[in-house]
Amino acid sequence: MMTSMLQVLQFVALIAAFVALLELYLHVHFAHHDERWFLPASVTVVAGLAALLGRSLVLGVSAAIVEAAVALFFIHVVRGRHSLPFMLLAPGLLGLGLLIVYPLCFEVYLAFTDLKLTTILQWSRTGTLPFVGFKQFVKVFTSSPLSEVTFWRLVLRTVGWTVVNVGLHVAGGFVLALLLNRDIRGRGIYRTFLVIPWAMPQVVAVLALRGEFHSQFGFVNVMLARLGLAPVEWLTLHPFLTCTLINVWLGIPFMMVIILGGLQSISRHYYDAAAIDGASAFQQLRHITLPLLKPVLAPAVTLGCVWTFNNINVIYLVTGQAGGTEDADILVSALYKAAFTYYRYSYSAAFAIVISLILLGASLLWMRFSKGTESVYG
Amino acid sequence: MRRALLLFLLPSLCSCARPKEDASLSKRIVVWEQEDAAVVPYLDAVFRAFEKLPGSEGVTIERTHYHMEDLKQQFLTASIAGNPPDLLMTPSDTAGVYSVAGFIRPVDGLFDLSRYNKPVVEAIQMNGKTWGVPISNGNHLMLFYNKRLSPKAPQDTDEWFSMCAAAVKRHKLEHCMALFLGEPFWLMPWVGAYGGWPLEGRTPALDTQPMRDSMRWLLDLVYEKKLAPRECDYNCVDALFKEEKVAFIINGDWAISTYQDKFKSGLGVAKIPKLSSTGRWPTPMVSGKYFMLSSKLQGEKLRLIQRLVEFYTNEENQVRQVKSLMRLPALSSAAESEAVKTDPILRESMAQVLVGKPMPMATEMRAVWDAIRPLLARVIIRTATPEEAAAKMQRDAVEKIREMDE
Repeated sequence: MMTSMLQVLQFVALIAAFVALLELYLHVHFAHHDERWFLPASVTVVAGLAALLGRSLVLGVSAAIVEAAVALFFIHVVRGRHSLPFMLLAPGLLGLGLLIVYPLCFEVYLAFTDLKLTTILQWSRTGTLPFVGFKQFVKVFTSSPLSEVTFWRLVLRTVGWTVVNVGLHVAGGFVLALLLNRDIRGRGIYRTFLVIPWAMPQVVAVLALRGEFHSQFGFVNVMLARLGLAPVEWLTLHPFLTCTLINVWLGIPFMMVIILGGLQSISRHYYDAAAIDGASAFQQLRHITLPLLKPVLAPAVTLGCVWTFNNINVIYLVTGQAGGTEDADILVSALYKAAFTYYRYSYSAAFAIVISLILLGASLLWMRFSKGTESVYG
Repeated sequence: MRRALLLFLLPSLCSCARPKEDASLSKRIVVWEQEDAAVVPYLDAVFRAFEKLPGSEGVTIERTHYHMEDLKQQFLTASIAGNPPDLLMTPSDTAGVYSVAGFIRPVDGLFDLSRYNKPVVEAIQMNGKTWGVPISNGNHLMLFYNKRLSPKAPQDTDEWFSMCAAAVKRHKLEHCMALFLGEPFWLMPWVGAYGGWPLEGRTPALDTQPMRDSMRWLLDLVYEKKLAPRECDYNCVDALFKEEKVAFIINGDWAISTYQDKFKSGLGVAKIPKLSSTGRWPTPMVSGKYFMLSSKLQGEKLRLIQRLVEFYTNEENQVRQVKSLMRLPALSSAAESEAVKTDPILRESMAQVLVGKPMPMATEMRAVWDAIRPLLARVIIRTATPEEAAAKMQRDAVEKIREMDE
């Protein structure tokens, strides 16, 4: 316990040291960019440190080139201006660079090379991988990580999964939000209960509900039996439907919270004015509520689409332990199998890039056609 | 400003400072395992005992637990990053992957492998090299029965069915036995009983009569004889047995201690009954738990690890392991001990091992498992016939192996 705490503290201290070094580096560049000695001194110090710490002349020369470019940028472009914003943003930007930009660049590198089980050894020894051009991307479109489902069927299934889930999330969330937006007794209690599926860890929620879909002992079939209906083998015969039902249950609370927030921000005056003009409840919903909810709903739907499209948790937890059926697999769960069952890392990297591009294109189209980023009050 | 910056920077930089150390001389041993929680106290006790041995001054053993699949992913990731643990404690089936990737080292020449049971050593050999040191023997399926519901074990499947009929009638059971039908590992004993095996050398052998017959056998159990529930995963079959809703379960030796705690003397263990139609014993896959050594190990650190592994698998600790965990020892001399010979459960477990077959550790086996799994599920729900499924399994396995190698 004590050792773990010390390790955490050491890690925090390391991060602090790193941030302090970065701030010192920026401070020197802001404070001394106009001194004559600045350029040669900064290049010499950075190159010397890099060569010394990395024990490599090549590293020293590379660091000198990079530092010369940075120093020139500070001398001719920044010229000591905006020092506070730069210094405040620097740690965050560096963190993003390390955690997002670097892995992304590495993924692109992997997609154009050939890393798999049989080339790992070569890679770990030489640090190089054979360049294969677009071969991995061709494989993505012409083969499938699954045995029984083609890539294009997977795409269609994933689109269907996303549309049905997000559609039901929005519809369910909207109905519940409308109900909770009224003056009813115990509204806070209802809201708390309704948010529980979203608030609890997804793994727990999915596994709990998966048990309820068991053909013999699950709550769902027990209820069906009470109604005189035959039991359904949900997990075996209808895994995709089961995953969808579970994911709908999990996703509605998020949409409900978002829509409720949007509803509560709409001024009552609009409804009062509409009522005076004789607008029906449906007309108020159509001409006031829905347009004014758009700025809230459009980003929420975009986020919901991205999350649902990439939702491996529900598929994996529901089907991964039920006989390994492929009947519920979507693109990301198939990608997981390619990467971690068959160790086809480069193929998986290309697959992931294709999925990202599909999502990017769909999101841009949606934002454009829904005009969700435009103001409704302007 | 500068002073403030320096005041902040200096203590932080001090935290980066660490004494210069030679990795091979380090006395910190990192072990990753995937054992059940019930096994952990035993592991820790042996590790602590090693730390106190003369010559182990300053040695610390850090044990980290992962689930099976996580252990594999984490070890691959850590090895790629160049910072793997020193030792793994894991079954043999992943050794093929690790050895092909070059992440573990062969142990030939480092240990006297002739001291261990021959089959358990053979189960970890590939391409003429041995990739791990056995800790225990088994990891195999066998028959467990609840003596209250069925007082004795069947010798063959015909006897099993008649015992089942009696138990179901007498105790008003819905089902007689719990079988994890969706998992190919549970199918393998029957494939063997029909005279087949899923991998011949490194080539899948799935579109075969034994494979078709074994799937038909499961269908018969579920639909004709109605002895086993159709939709039941591992947790489900385990729960059915523990809750005394079935008389028999086929499960692995890892469950012995749990079932013993639950049923005490009411637990019966036996070989999976002989298949009456062929007269052959079912052949569960047999492997064991192994120490696998990171390929990064060398020098003093390697010698320290050798000492630890030898200590962990010495006769005294192997017998202790038998008593504490009810696992068959890997060391030949410990297998001859009274603790094994006099315990009826271990005796039956050993008898099951003797009719089992070593689990293939070739990387191709991964493709074979994944080719069987979805099609076996389709056969069980009768959306594919055993003939269609076997043919497709073969095609899929060959295709997946081709893709892995491509």
